[in-house]
Amino acid sequence: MNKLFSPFIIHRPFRNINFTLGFLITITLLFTAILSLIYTPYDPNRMNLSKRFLPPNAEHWLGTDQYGRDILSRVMRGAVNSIVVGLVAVSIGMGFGVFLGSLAAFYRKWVDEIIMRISDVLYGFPAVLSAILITSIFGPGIINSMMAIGIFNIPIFARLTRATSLSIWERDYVTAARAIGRRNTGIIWKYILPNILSALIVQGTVQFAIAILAEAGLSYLGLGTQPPHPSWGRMLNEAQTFMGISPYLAIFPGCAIALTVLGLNLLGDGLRDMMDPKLSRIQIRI
Amino acid sequence: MTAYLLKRSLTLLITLILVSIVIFAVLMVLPGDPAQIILGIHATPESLQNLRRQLGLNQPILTQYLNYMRGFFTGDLGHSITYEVSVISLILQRLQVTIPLTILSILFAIFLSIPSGIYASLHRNRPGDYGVMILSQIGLAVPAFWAGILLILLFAVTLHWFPAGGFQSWQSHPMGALKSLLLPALSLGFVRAAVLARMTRSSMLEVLGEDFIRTARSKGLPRRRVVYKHAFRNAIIPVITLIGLQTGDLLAGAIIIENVFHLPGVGRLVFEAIGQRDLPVIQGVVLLIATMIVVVNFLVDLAYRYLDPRIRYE
Repeated sequence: MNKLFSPFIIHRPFRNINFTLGFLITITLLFTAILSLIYTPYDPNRMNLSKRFLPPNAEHWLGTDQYGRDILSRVMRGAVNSIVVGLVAVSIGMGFGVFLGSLAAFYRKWVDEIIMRISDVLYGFPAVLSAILITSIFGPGIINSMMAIGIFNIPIFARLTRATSLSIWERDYVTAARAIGRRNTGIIWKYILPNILSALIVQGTVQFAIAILAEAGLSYLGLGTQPPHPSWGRMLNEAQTFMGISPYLAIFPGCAIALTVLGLNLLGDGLRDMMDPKLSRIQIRI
Repeated sequence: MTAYLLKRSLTLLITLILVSIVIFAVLMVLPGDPAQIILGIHATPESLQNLRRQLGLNQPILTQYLNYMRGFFTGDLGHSITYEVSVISLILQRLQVTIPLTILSILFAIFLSIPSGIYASLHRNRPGDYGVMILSQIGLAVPAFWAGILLILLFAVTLHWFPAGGFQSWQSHPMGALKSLLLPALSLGFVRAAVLARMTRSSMLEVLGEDFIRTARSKGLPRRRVVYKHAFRNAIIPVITLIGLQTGDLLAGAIIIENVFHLPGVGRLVFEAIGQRDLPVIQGVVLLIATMIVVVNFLVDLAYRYLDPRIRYE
């Protein structure tokens, strides 16, 4: 079996600085999210009105908010929210996108034309716009915003899958497989998908980062995660009201978003460099 | 060329019709009766029936869609439920904030990104290049609305140089209006600049490696002339395309940024309309933004072919 570039044969990955940094940041984020489900310094939603607007101190490392809730605990729990949104949104996008892109590349002609035209329409719709449309109908909430971000991801993966698999269908080993009578679904599973997997993984990390940014934006607008659940975007919205009294409130959740997105972007860059130096990243959309 | 233009225009028209159907269909499946939402739960059956007739809700869906599209092309997008004025006049009024904001942020992005991208490409793998690349990684990671909040914290809350939000009208205070758009445009532009700087750098690097650059240098042209006259002119084409393709993201970013700075633009309008379930406004704004994105992409495509004659009109 011919694999052009497999994600499983990376040699000495930690020699790549982007990958190393991105990997460390992402692993820390994952660890923090899992840890926050078992342990946070305080209950992220417990109010304590006698300890409002405390600056960072020995007891509350990142200070407290307008209800006296511990910021560190809320930032930690907010990580779970971001990861879940990112995972679900990318899974929706990748699942439907890969399916549609494979269909387009396999059938070509009018199937290809229809799928690509529809994906053009969706492609013109930024995540925030489709989320506004969806939340205006079904109401604000985390499920609806995940769906909206996921739908926005579909055309990106559909285009990538179509573009990368088209050339693989032309390869000699695929022709050989067809000649010995392999079934088309078998060819897609055994030859096409493994060869486009690395491109999908790279794009997946990038879209994961974009999904986190989009969710933060939606939650900031009040369309995403609903209170009292801690979400980084929502925390920034609340912080803006009290910025004059306590500027710390506006700093830490933003740092958490930026660091997470930075980590995922670096990871994506590093993976891309290692898997295929020629593979260029699709346009970045935030 | 004419054949290509015709083909492209036809695709544009089909895309626009698809977009409008999607938006119309999505708002059609809305749970609840729009007339009930407008009049509230205490409305009498007669008044509900009257309003339904007035809004055309008792007609078949296809007729409703055709009526809506006829309205769209004649500049009539219906009436806002909350503001009780026509949606188009409301949008036009709010565009006075959104369009200058978008243009200013594109200008910021261009002035920040293109010189730094060129600089990075000419100093490849040296500290200057790393500096630009690190800054652009940060720019990609920072959400525009958080950049906005930080700018408010620094320039409005701490230094008192700029207003923390709000907008003065162009007619009465043109300078005040411009001043209230500067921070929002900067926060939007910074993020865009990160993407453009990377694109400028990689595009310049690609062109600088081409044979005609070596030829230009070897025939004795000064380095400056080769960089700006030969390399830059060719490298800028994909960058211009990217600027155009980013319109959608910019408009989406403007929706959030207008809310950060309390600017009365289209983004704030659609956000308020969601809160008040003012459907004609939501429908109008989303359709308008989608149309703008599709049309700009079309123009970018044409400009691309004009700027780079090597691309054939198929």
